[in-house]
Amino acid sequence: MIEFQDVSVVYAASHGIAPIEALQRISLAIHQGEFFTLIGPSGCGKTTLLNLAAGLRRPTKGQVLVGGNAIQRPRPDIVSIVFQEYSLFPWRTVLGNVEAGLEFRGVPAPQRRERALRYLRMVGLESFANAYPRQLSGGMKQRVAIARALSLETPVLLMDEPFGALDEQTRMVLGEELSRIFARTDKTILLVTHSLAEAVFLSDRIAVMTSRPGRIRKIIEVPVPHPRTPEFMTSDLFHERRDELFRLLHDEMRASVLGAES
Amino acid sequence: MLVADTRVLRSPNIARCRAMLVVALFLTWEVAARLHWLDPDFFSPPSAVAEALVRMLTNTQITAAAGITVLEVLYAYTFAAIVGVLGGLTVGLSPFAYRVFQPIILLLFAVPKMVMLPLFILFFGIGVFSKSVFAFTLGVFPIILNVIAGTRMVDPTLVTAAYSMGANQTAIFLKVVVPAALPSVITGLRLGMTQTVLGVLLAELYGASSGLGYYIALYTQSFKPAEVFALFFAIAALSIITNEFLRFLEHRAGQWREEEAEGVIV
Repeated sequence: MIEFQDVSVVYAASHGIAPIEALQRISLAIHQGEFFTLIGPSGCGKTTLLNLAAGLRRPTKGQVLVGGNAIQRPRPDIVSIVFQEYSLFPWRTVLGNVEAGLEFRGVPAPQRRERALRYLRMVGLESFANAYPRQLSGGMKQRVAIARALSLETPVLLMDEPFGALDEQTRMVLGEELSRIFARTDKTILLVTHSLAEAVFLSDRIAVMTSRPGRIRKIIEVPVPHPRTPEFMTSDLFHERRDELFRLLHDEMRASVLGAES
Repeated sequence: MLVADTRVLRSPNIARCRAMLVVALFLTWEVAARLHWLDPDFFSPPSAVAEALVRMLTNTQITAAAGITVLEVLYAYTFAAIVGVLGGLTVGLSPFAYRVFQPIILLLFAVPKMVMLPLFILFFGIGVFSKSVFAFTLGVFPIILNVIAGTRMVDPTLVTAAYSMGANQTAIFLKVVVPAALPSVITGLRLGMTQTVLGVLLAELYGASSGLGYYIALYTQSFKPAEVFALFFAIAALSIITNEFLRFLEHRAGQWREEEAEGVIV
């Protein structure tokens, strides 16, 4: 469903900083209906990789296909995105924010409202339809952003550290909700996260990336059906995968933070 | 809850204190003027000022002068608003235009326009046109500077989000940039109005054949303090009403920006 074909990204030199190789020859295929996660040390290029699939950036070399289409610019008909900063329009109500995406897509007003309300109900925020973003907690804002992305009804959903700014408890609850929503729809999800537990809990497969220049170091499978429940977090498989991720990441993080090449 | 309750109880007291202070001030003035503690050539009691105000409202020369002043403000303000908003959007939205024009605008803003007033009168005469041009040079700066600031403060993540959802350039402008910048634009329009009125009155005081500023100068020179104060209060009332109206619009447009205005629902 999402294919990265021998993709490299080099950031051009600017203001006396040498060119930076962010991604180095990445080839990766994410299957239809799969929950795929990118994890890696800070600055490893995982967000850059996601932005390539989003059409917000173009690769220096190689190409990116989503649903067989070469991605050059955003394709709101096949790809929707949840950003790390909630990126809600503060002057619009919750309902107005969910409708915004449909508005940009040119969906007529009556259908817009009906669809927006349906997805607000799915994330449990129907009763806050007329509230403004500033009145909501961080977790609620991110649920609105998720409803907005879902309302576009695209086969692919990209999520860039969607729960990064939230506290542990809220993350856990939203993680469960996401697994439930994922099980109900037939979406392909690509998630970027820092959290090991979140990655294992949600993903079918997890790609561990190396420190810059970003490459895929290893892909770990978590063969457990969705929706996943909190009991899964106490299972042996969960701990085994989490420990494996920790070992792989620990080396990379040392390399990244201390600046040593691994 | 406790905080909200005390606030509700306290606010009428504050309003009463304010009203009493103003009344006391006017009473003192009235008494001081009547007992000739104040020189009657310079001060008239508020009662005399009120009488003068009523006389003026029926004086066709004064009402015509007020019409001219309003007309000058309208000309200058319309032009300042158009140039300020369009110019501000152009400079604010184009990084190239910003780098070229912003330093020039700031330098021009820093120049005291007052020193140009004699030249403007030399160029454009003492009629409506010179007053309007001068007032425009004062009124346009708060507008253009606030529009520039507003458009540059638009959160880039919101632009990216809109773009990723399929918004084209027009949709991004109309549905992201305009609503995001609107509170700053209205702030600019409000401050611009204050400056425009100031410009018109200054120009009329300096050299004119009509307008409210001209009559203030005339009455001052002929020692008619009641008339001067009456004009002052009339102008003050009009300015306050205009300003409060624009402040109301500003508040309405900027409600989403005021984080502390309402409690967070969790």
